[in-house]
Amino acid sequence: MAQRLEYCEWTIAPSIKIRTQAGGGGIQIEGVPKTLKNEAALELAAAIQEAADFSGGHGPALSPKNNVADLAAMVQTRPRETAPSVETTSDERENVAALGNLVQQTEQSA
Amino acid sequence: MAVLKTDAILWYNVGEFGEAGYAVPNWSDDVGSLNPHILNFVNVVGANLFSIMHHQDVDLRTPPSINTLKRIHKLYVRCASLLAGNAIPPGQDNMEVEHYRPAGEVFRVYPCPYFLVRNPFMRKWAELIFIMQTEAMQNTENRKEMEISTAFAGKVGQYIRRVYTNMAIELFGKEKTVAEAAGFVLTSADFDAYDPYAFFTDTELTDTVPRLDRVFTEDRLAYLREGIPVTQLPELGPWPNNLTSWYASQRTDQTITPSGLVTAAAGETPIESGSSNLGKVAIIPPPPGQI
Repeated sequence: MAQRLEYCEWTIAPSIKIRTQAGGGGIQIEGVPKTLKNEAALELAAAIQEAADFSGGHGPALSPKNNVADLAAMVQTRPRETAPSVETTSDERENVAALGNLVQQTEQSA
Repeated sequence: MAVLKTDAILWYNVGEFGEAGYAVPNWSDDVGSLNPHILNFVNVVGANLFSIMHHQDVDLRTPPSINTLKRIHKLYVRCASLLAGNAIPPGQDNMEVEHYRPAGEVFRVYPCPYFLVRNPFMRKWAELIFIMQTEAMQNTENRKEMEISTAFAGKVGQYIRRVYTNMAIELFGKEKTVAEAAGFVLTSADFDAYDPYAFFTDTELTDTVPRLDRVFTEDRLAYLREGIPVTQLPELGPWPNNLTSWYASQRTDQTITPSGLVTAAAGETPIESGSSNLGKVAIIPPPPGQI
Protein backbone atom coordinates (compact mmCIF):
# COMPACT_ATOMS: atom_id res chain seq x y z
CA MET A 1 0.00 0.00 0.00
CA ALA A 2 1.42 3.38 -0.95
CA GLN A 3 2.37 5.35 2.10
CA ARG A 4 3.20 8.99 1.98
CA LEU A 5 6.02 9.37 4.44
CA GLU A 6 6.79 13.02 4.00
CA TYR A 7 5.13 15.87 2.34
CA CYS A 8 6.76 15.03 -0.94
CA GLU A 9 7.90 11.47 -0.70
CA TRP A 10 5.94 8.34 -1.31
CA THR A 11 6.97 4.82 -0.52
CA ILE A 12 5.38 1.80 -2.10
CA ALA A 13 6.19 -1.46 -0.44
CA PRO A 14 8.64 -2.98 -0.46
CA SER A 15 11.21 -0.60 -1.90
CA ILE A 16 9.84 1.87 -4.45
CA LYS A 17 10.37 5.53 -3.46
CA ILE A 18 9.06 8.56 -5.32
CA ARG A 19 10.28 12.03 -4.45
CA THR A 20 9.32 15.36 -5.85
CA GLN A 21 9.19 19.00 -4.98
CA ALA A 22 6.40 21.46 -5.50
CA GLY A 23 6.73 24.10 -8.14
CA GLY A 24 8.47 21.88 -10.67
CA GLY A 25 11.66 19.97 -10.10
CA GLY A 26 10.99 16.65 -11.63
CA ILE A 27 10.09 13.35 -10.08
CA GLN A 28 12.66 10.91 -8.84
CA ILE A 29 11.65 7.28 -8.75
CA GLU A 30 13.89 4.61 -7.36
CA GLY A 31 13.69 1.04 -6.32
CA VAL A 32 11.29 -0.13 -9.03
CA PRO A 33 11.69 -3.89 -9.58
CA LYS A 34 11.77 -5.40 -13.06
CA THR A 35 8.35 -6.91 -12.60
CA LEU A 36 5.42 -5.59 -10.70
CA LYS A 37 2.22 -7.21 -9.68
CA ASN A 38 -0.90 -5.54 -11.03
CA GLU A 39 -1.84 -4.10 -7.71
CA ALA A 40 1.59 -2.62 -7.12
CA ALA A 41 1.67 -1.25 -10.67
CA LEU A 42 -1.62 0.51 -10.14
CA GLU A 43 -0.38 2.01 -6.89
CA LEU A 44 2.80 3.13 -8.60
CA ALA A 45 0.86 4.82 -11.35
CA ALA A 46 -1.40 6.59 -8.88
CA ALA A 47 1.56 7.73 -6.80
CA ILE A 48 3.36 9.05 -9.89
CA GLN A 49 0.25 10.97 -10.88
CA GLU A 50 -0.05 12.42 -7.42
CA ALA A 51 3.61 13.38 -7.44
CA ALA A 52 3.21 15.00 -10.81
CA ASP A 53 0.27 17.03 -9.57
CA PHE A 54 2.24 18.08 -6.57
CA SER A 55 5.30 18.91 -8.60
CA GLY A 56 3.18 21.00 -10.90
CA GLY A 57 2.86 23.60 -8.16
CA HIS A 58 -0.29 22.55 -6.33
CA GLY A 59 1.45 22.67 -3.00
CA PRO A 60 3.72 25.19 -1.34
CA ALA A 61 7.37 25.17 -2.24
CA LEU A 62 8.81 23.10 0.55
CA SER A 63 12.19 21.71 1.07
CA PRO A 64 11.85 18.07 2.09
CA LYS A 65 14.77 18.42 4.43
CA ASN A 66 13.52 21.41 6.42
CA ASN A 67 9.92 20.76 7.32
CA VAL A 68 10.30 22.19 10.78
CA ALA A 69 11.38 25.58 9.47
CA ASP A 70 8.68 25.47 6.82
CA LEU A 71 6.03 24.73 9.40
CA ALA A 72 7.26 27.63 11.49
CA ALA A 73 6.98 29.90 8.47
CA MET A 74 3.42 28.74 7.87
CA VAL A 75 2.51 29.37 11.50
CA GLN A 76 3.70 32.96 11.24
CA THR A 77 1.50 33.64 8.26
CA ARG A 78 -1.70 32.57 9.99
CA PRO A 79 -4.38 35.25 9.82
CA ARG A 80 -4.92 35.22 13.57
CA GLU A 81 -2.01 37.02 15.17
CA THR A 82 -0.69 35.98 18.54
CA ALA A 83 1.46 39.06 18.80
CA PRO A 84 1.26 41.88 16.26
CA SER A 85 4.08 43.33 14.28
CA VAL A 86 5.32 46.68 15.53
CA GLU A 87 6.76 47.94 12.30
CA THR A 88 5.37 51.35 11.41
CA THR A 89 5.20 52.90 7.99
CA SER A 90 6.42 56.41 7.29
CA ASP A 91 2.80 57.56 6.96
CA GLU A 92 1.97 56.16 10.38
CA ARG A 93 4.97 57.90 11.89
CA GLU A 94 3.85 61.15 10.32
CA ASN A 95 0.42 60.70 11.86
CA VAL A 96 2.00 60.04 15.25
CA ALA A 97 4.10 63.18 14.91
CA ALA A 98 1.06 65.20 13.86
CA LEU A 99 -0.92 63.92 16.83
CA GLY A 100 1.95 64.84 19.12
CA ASN A 101 1.96 68.39 17.78
CA LEU A 102 -1.80 68.68 18.17
CA VAL A 103 -1.63 67.46 21.75
CA GLN A 104 1.14 69.92 22.55
CA GLN A 105 -0.93 72.75 21.10
CA THR A 106 -3.85 71.67 23.27
CA GLU A 107 -1.70 71.51 26.39
CA GLN A 108 -0.21 74.94 25.71
CA SER A 109 -3.59 76.56 25.19
CA ALA A 110 -5.11 75.06 28.34
CA MET B 1 -30.04 55.24 29.51
CA ALA B 2 -28.66 58.66 30.45
CA VAL B 3 -26.19 58.70 33.31
CA LEU B 4 -26.59 61.85 35.33
CA LYS B 5 -25.48 61.01 38.86
CA THR B 6 -21.79 60.56 38.15
CA ASP B 7 -19.09 61.60 35.71
CA ALA B 8 -16.84 58.70 36.63
CA ILE B 9 -16.06 55.54 34.75
CA LEU B 10 -19.17 53.42 35.02
CA TRP B 11 -19.44 50.06 36.71
CA TYR B 12 -21.00 47.53 34.33
CA ASN B 13 -23.02 45.97 37.10
CA VAL B 14 -24.65 43.17 35.13
CA GLY B 15 -24.52 39.64 36.56
CA GLU B 16 -21.15 38.00 36.88
CA PHE B 17 -19.50 40.81 34.94
CA GLY B 18 -20.49 43.21 37.68
CA GLU B 19 -18.94 40.92 40.27
CA ALA B 20 -15.80 40.81 38.14
CA GLY B 21 -15.52 44.60 38.15
CA TYR B 22 -16.27 45.31 34.49
CA ALA B 23 -16.50 48.92 33.35
CA VAL B 24 -17.65 51.10 30.46
CA PRO B 25 -16.88 54.75 29.63
CA ASN B 26 -19.33 57.42 30.73
CA TRP B 27 -21.48 58.90 27.98
CA SER B 28 -23.54 60.94 30.45
CA ASP B 29 -26.67 62.00 28.56
CA ASP B 30 -24.89 61.99 25.17
CA VAL B 31 -26.10 58.63 23.98
CA GLY B 32 -25.06 59.03 20.36
CA SER B 33 -23.47 61.14 17.69
CA LEU B 34 -23.98 62.62 14.25
CA ASN B 35 -20.25 62.49 13.60
CA PRO B 36 -19.06 59.37 11.81
CA HIS B 37 -15.42 59.93 12.78
CA ILE B 38 -16.22 60.06 16.48
CA LEU B 39 -18.54 57.05 16.26
CA ASN B 40 -15.84 55.06 14.52
CA PHE B 41 -13.14 56.23 16.91
CA VAL B 42 -15.10 55.29 20.03
CA ASN B 43 -15.95 51.95 18.47
CA VAL B 44 -12.42 51.06 17.41
CA VAL B 45 -10.91 52.09 20.72
CA GLY B 46 -13.55 50.21 22.70
CA ALA B 47 -13.09 47.01 20.72
CA ASN B 48 -9.32 47.18 21.05
CA LEU B 49 -9.46 47.88 24.78
CA PHE B 50 -11.83 44.94 25.17
CA SER B 51 -9.27 42.68 23.52
CA ILE B 52 -6.36 44.03 25.53
CA MET B 53 -8.13 43.85 28.90
CA HIS B 54 -9.19 40.23 28.41
CA HIS B 55 -5.60 39.13 28.14
CA GLN B 56 -4.11 37.08 30.94
CA ASP B 57 -1.74 39.96 31.80
CA VAL B 58 -4.53 41.84 33.59
CA ASP B 59 -4.56 39.26 36.36
CA LEU B 60 -0.80 39.45 36.99
CA ARG B 61 0.78 42.18 39.07
CA THR B 62 4.10 41.67 37.29
CA PRO B 63 4.98 43.88 34.29
CA PRO B 64 2.86 43.10 31.21
CA SER B 65 4.15 40.73 28.58
CA ILE B 66 5.57 42.01 25.32
CA ASN B 67 2.37 40.91 23.56
CA THR B 68 0.31 43.45 25.49
CA LEU B 69 2.86 46.19 24.94
CA LYS B 70 2.85 45.56 21.21
CA ARG B 71 -0.93 45.81 21.20
CA ILE B 72 -0.75 49.12 23.05
CA HIS B 73 1.78 50.31 20.49
CA LYS B 74 -0.50 49.30 17.62
CA LEU B 75 -3.49 50.97 19.28
CA TYR B 76 -1.52 54.21 19.68
CA VAL B 77 -0.45 54.21 16.04
CA ARG B 78 -4.03 53.40 15.04
CA CYS B 79 -5.46 56.25 17.12
CA ALA B 80 -2.94 58.65 15.62
CA SER B 81 -4.12 57.62 12.17
CA LEU B 82 -7.77 58.04 13.10
CA LEU B 83 -7.30 61.40 14.81
CA ALA B 84 -4.48 63.22 13.08
CA GLY B 85 -5.25 61.57 9.78
CA ASN B 86 -8.81 62.91 9.72
CA ALA B 87 -8.62 66.18 11.67
CA ILE B 88 -9.21 69.41 9.78
CA PRO B 89 -7.27 72.52 10.86
CA PRO B 90 -9.24 75.70 11.57
CA GLY B 91 -8.08 77.47 8.42
CA GLN B 92 -9.26 74.71 6.10
CA ASP B 93 -12.79 74.50 4.74
CA ASN B 94 -14.90 71.78 6.26
CA MET B 95 -16.80 69.47 3.98
CA GLU B 96 -20.50 70.21 4.22
CA VAL B 97 -23.58 68.36 3.04
CA GLU B 98 -26.37 69.82 0.96
CA HIS B 99 -29.18 67.27 0.83
CA TYR B 100 -28.12 64.79 3.47
CA ARG B 101 -28.81 64.91 7.19
CA PRO B 102 -27.64 62.04 9.36
CA ALA B 103 -30.09 60.22 11.59
CA GLY B 104 -27.33 59.75 14.13
CA GLU B 105 -26.15 56.59 15.76
CA VAL B 106 -26.07 55.37 19.33
CA PHE B 107 -22.63 54.76 20.81
CA ARG B 108 -21.58 51.17 21.35
CA VAL B 109 -19.52 50.31 24.41
CA TYR B 110 -17.50 47.19 25.11
CA PRO B 111 -17.54 46.31 28.82
CA CYS B 112 -14.19 45.03 29.96
CA PRO B 113 -12.40 44.28 33.25
CA TYR B 114 -11.25 47.36 35.11
CA PHE B 115 -12.12 47.85 38.77
CA LEU B 116 -10.64 44.57 39.98
CA VAL B 117 -7.72 44.41 37.56
CA ARG B 118 -4.55 43.42 39.41
CA ASN B 119 -2.01 44.73 36.92
CA PRO B 120 -1.28 48.33 37.89
CA PHE B 121 -0.04 49.31 34.43
CA MET B 122 -3.01 47.97 32.54
CA ARG B 123 -5.45 49.44 35.03
CA LYS B 124 -3.86 52.85 34.66
CA TRP B 125 -3.86 52.60 30.87
CA ALA B 126 -7.46 51.39 30.80
CA GLU B 127 -8.47 54.35 32.93
CA LEU B 128 -6.88 56.77 30.48
CA ILE B 129 -8.50 55.08 27.51
CA PHE B 130 -11.93 55.10 29.20
CA ILE B 131 -11.43 58.80 29.88
CA MET B 132 -10.48 59.32 26.25
CA GLN B 133 -13.68 57.62 25.12
CA THR B 134 -15.69 59.63 27.63
CA GLU B 135 -14.24 62.90 26.36
CA ALA B 136 -14.94 61.89 22.78
CA MET B 137 -18.52 60.84 23.47
CA GLN B 138 -19.34 64.07 25.27
CA ASN B 139 -17.47 66.41 22.95
CA THR B 140 -19.43 69.14 21.23
CA GLU B 141 -18.17 68.00 17.82
CA ASN B 142 -20.60 65.13 17.95
CA ARG B 143 -22.93 67.63 16.34
CA LYS B 144 -20.67 68.02 13.32
CA GLU B 145 -21.82 65.86 10.48
CA MET B 146 -18.68 65.28 8.44
CA GLU B 147 -15.43 66.39 10.11
CA ILE B 148 -13.41 66.48 13.29
CA SER B 149 -11.11 69.37 14.06
CA THR B 150 -7.48 69.45 15.11
CA ALA B 151 -8.70 70.78 18.45
CA PHE B 152 -10.74 67.64 18.95
CA ALA B 153 -7.80 65.45 17.91
CA GLY B 154 -5.48 67.23 20.31
CA LYS B 155 -7.89 67.15 23.23
CA VAL B 156 -8.86 63.51 22.83
CA GLY B 157 -5.46 62.27 21.66
CA GLN B 158 -3.61 63.40 24.75
CA TYR B 159 -4.87 60.42 26.74
CA ILE B 160 -3.63 57.69 24.43
CA ARG B 161 -0.41 59.65 24.07
CA ARG B 162 -0.05 59.65 27.85
CA VAL B 163 -0.54 55.87 27.83
CA TYR B 164 2.23 55.47 25.28
CA THR B 165 4.72 57.80 26.94
CA ASN B 166 4.06 56.13 30.28
CA MET B 167 4.70 52.73 28.74
CA ALA B 168 7.89 53.96 27.08
CA ILE B 169 9.22 55.56 30.25
CA GLU B 170 8.30 52.94 32.85
CA LEU B 171 8.68 49.75 30.86
CA PHE B 172 11.29 50.60 28.24
CA GLY B 173 13.38 53.01 30.28
CA LYS B 174 13.09 55.93 27.87
CA GLU B 175 13.78 59.43 29.10
CA LYS B 176 10.79 61.70 29.53
CA THR B 177 12.01 64.22 26.95
CA VAL B 178 12.56 61.44 24.44
CA ALA B 179 9.22 59.73 25.03
CA GLU B 180 7.31 63.01 24.81
CA ALA B 181 8.89 64.12 21.54
CA ALA B 182 6.28 64.69 18.86
CA GLY B 183 7.05 61.78 16.56
CA PHE B 184 8.41 59.28 19.05
CA VAL B 185 7.56 55.61 18.52
CA LEU B 186 9.23 52.54 19.89
CA THR B 187 11.19 50.46 17.40
CA SER B 188 11.42 46.73 16.86
CA ALA B 189 14.80 46.85 18.58
CA ASP B 190 13.19 48.42 21.64
CA PHE B 191 10.61 45.65 21.83
CA ASP B 192 13.23 42.95 21.27
CA ALA B 193 15.27 44.38 24.15
CA TYR B 194 12.30 44.59 26.56
CA ASP B 195 13.51 43.44 29.95
CA PRO B 196 11.64 44.87 32.95
CA TYR B 197 13.57 42.53 35.23
CA ALA B 198 16.57 44.81 34.75
CA PHE B 199 15.05 47.70 36.68
CA PHE B 200 11.92 46.63 38.52
CA THR B 201 12.02 45.87 42.21
CA ASP B 202 11.70 42.34 43.50
CA THR B 203 8.36 43.28 45.02
CA GLU B 204 6.98 44.24 41.63
CA LEU B 205 8.32 41.07 40.05
CA THR B 206 6.69 38.61 42.46
CA ASP B 207 3.03 37.88 42.81
CA THR B 208 0.47 35.47 44.20
CA VAL B 209 -1.82 33.37 42.04
CA PRO B 210 -5.01 35.23 41.16
CA ARG B 211 -8.45 33.68 41.33
CA LEU B 212 -8.94 31.39 38.36
CA ASP B 213 -12.72 31.17 38.22
CA ARG B 214 -13.42 34.38 36.31
CA VAL B 215 -11.75 33.48 33.04
CA PHE B 216 -14.74 33.86 30.75
CA THR B 217 -14.94 31.89 27.54
CA GLU B 218 -15.22 33.61 24.20
CA ASP B 219 -18.80 32.39 23.91
CA ARG B 220 -19.64 33.93 27.25
CA LEU B 221 -18.08 37.19 26.11
CA ALA B 222 -19.64 37.14 22.65
CA TYR B 223 -22.45 39.54 23.55
CA LEU B 224 -20.00 42.02 25.04
CA ARG B 225 -17.64 41.64 22.11
CA GLU B 226 -20.36 42.80 19.72
CA GLY B 227 -20.60 46.09 21.53
CA ILE B 228 -23.69 47.12 23.47
CA PRO B 229 -25.64 50.24 22.45
CA VAL B 230 -25.66 52.51 25.48
CA THR B 231 -29.42 52.89 25.24
CA GLN B 232 -29.77 49.18 25.96
CA LEU B 233 -27.79 49.30 29.17
CA PRO B 234 -29.45 49.41 32.58
CA GLU B 235 -28.90 52.32 34.92
CA LEU B 236 -25.22 52.33 35.82
CA GLY B 237 -23.26 54.09 38.53
CA PRO B 238 -19.72 54.39 39.82
CA TRP B 239 -17.87 51.57 41.51
CA PRO B 240 -19.41 51.32 44.99
CA ASN B 241 -16.11 51.72 46.80
CA ASN B 242 -15.74 55.39 45.95
CA LEU B 243 -15.11 58.48 48.04
CA THR B 244 -18.26 60.30 47.00
CA SER B 245 -20.49 57.58 48.40
CA TRP B 246 -18.35 57.22 51.52
CA TYR B 247 -18.53 60.91 52.40
CA ALA B 248 -22.25 60.93 51.67
CA SER B 249 -22.76 58.13 54.19
CA GLN B 250 -20.55 59.71 56.81
CA ARG B 251 -21.34 63.41 56.71
CA THR B 252 -23.50 64.44 59.63
CA ASP B 253 -24.31 67.47 61.71
CA GLN B 254 -24.09 65.53 64.97
CA THR B 255 -20.98 65.46 67.13
CA ILE B 256 -19.52 63.04 69.60
CA THR B 257 -19.54 64.02 73.27
CA PRO B 258 -16.59 63.22 75.58
CA SER B 259 -18.61 60.26 76.89
CA GLY B 260 -18.81 58.81 73.43
CA LEU B 261 -22.54 59.29 72.95
CA VAL B 262 -23.87 61.19 70.04
CA THR B 263 -25.78 64.34 70.84
CA ALA B 264 -27.66 66.61 68.59
CA ALA B 265 -26.32 69.99 67.60
CA ALA B 266 -27.73 72.98 69.42
CA GLY B 267 -31.42 73.48 68.72
CA GLU B 268 -31.96 70.04 67.12
CA THR B 269 -33.78 66.94 68.31
CA PRO B 270 -31.55 64.66 70.44
CA ILE B 271 -30.66 61.32 68.88
CA GLU B 272 -31.83 58.08 70.49
CA SER B 273 -29.11 55.93 71.94
CA GLY B 274 -30.00 53.10 69.60
CA SER B 275 -29.69 55.29 66.57
CA SER B 276 -27.51 54.30 63.70
CA ASN B 277 -25.84 57.70 64.01
CA LEU B 278 -24.01 56.53 67.10
CA GLY B 279 -20.26 56.99 66.77
CA LYS B 280 -20.35 59.28 63.76
CA VAL B 281 -17.93 62.16 63.73
CA ALA B 282 -18.53 65.48 62.03
CA ILE B 283 -16.46 65.89 58.92
CA ILE B 284 -15.82 69.50 59.89
CA PRO B 285 -15.06 69.70 63.64
CA PRO B 286 -17.36 72.06 65.56
CA PRO B 287 -16.02 75.37 66.84
CA PRO B 288 -14.41 75.26 70.32
CA GLY B 289 -16.92 75.27 73.15
CA GLN B 290 -19.71 73.49 71.31
CA ILE B 291 -18.78 69.88 72.16
